[in-house]
Amino acid sequence: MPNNLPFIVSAYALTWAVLIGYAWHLTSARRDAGRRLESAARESAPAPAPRESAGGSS
Amino acid sequence: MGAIPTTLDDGAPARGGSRELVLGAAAFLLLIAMQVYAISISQADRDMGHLQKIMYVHVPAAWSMMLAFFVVAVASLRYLWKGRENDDLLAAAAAESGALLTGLTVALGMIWAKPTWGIWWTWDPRVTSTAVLFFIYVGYLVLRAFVDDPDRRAQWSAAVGLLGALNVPIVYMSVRWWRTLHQVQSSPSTVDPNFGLGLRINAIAFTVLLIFFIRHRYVTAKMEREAEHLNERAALGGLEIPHA
Amino acid sequence: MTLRDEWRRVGAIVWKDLTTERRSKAGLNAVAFMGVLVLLLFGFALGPDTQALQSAAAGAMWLAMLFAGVLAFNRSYQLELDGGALESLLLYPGARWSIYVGKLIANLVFVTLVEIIVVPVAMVLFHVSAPAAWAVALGVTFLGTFGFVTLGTFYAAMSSRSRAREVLLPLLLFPMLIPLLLAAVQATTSLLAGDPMREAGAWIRLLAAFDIIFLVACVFAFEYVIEV
Repeated sequence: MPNNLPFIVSAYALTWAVLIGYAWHLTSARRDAGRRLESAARESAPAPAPRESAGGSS
Repeated sequence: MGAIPTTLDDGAPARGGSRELVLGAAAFLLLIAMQVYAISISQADRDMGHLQKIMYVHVPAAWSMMLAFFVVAVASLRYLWKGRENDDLLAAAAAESGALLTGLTVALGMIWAKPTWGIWWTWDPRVTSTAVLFFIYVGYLVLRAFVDDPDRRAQWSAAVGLLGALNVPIVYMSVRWWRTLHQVQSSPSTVDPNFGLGLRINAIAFTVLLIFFIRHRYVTAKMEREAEHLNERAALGGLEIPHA
Repeated sequence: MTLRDEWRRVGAIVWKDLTTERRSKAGLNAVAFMGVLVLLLFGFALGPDTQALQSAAAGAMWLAMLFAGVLAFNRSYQLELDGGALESLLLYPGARWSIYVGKLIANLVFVTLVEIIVVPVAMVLFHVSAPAAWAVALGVTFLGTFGFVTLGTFYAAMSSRSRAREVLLPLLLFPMLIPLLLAAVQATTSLLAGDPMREAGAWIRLLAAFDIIFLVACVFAFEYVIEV
């Protein structure tokens, strides 16, 4: 039986690196978007808003 | 795929993302469990040793990539039909995950091909058309990056996504003819009965992961658009601007 | 608007584009020159060995036509955009597809003129003589060119109005053209060798199917692309 272990290990390592990396990228992009949305909401709604604002509770 | 947009639409609160966190953690845990299970039940192949274990990541990646591009095609078509921005954002989210999985599929195929056939790259119909598909959807994503106007970006990328999807079977057919008219690259058939089961359960795990990716990306895109709308409104001094 | 009026609009657009092109002439000369230059580069890259040149002739010729032709498509919209003429063109009543078909025919004429220069040069440089079935080979050239121009005209409507238009058009267009390139090169190679395996017919059918599918799809989708 040929020794194919390096190929198998590299295949799984690559898969996990790509999947985890993308999940990480998405999560940080989402955090940035949330921050931007918050600041946009704060700037656009200085008018009296008795109810709690759309998503700007910091 | 009509079910995905409706589940994506509900709620989508601006903050939080704790639901995504749960879904993501569940998806990754499921993937670990399925990989461990599949690896433990599968026997070593007579010809290839343990090499076919690469298939437990390669084939599910390929299947979920096709699923992602199916979502792109359906969402693009629905955007052109109904003109709702959400469909455009869904298509973009699916295209990004799909391009990533396509790149992964091609790379894993190369890692498998080297010890099996002794070469990193073979002009096999499936390998080649997957690479072409990768380039078609990279073009789609580059187009989105280079067009700033949201309406224009949505209309154009929907058209490009549809034409790309239309081309996929034609590319596959043409490459297959091209190869079979010259020589046939026979791929070794697998004999392990547990092999199919291992593939299927890993495909389920990849599909859950794909849903997590698309949903995560989609909610982020929606938040970005919402922020842009708020900024536009603030710039116009509180005037309400109609948007789709 | 009747169909007859639409076709008159198509004719007017073709006439307008070709007149502009004829008056400037610089475009045609530059693009044809580019095609010949690509052929020359392929010749240098593949070496002076006659056998190697002959076996690569069809591929080099088609790639030269694609690389040269892709320069033409952005131009055809660029002239409209510079003068702000596209907006007024869109203001006229009538269906949008007539704009697309007009541009398509004008580009087809333009690329065909380029090919009239490039193809004989390719035959001389790569030591190939006209095949016995020259009429079929011309048909293959036409079908390949038609599919190429169909998609090129469509994608240029987007790329010419975006940032980074020079890089965007080939990036969008070339992956889509892979089936067409395969079919055209295989059919041409087979015909140049006298079609010993009788395989040119299958490739010609694939070319025709490609042309029809994408002509219909582009006519349908152009309306969405040009509106915004």
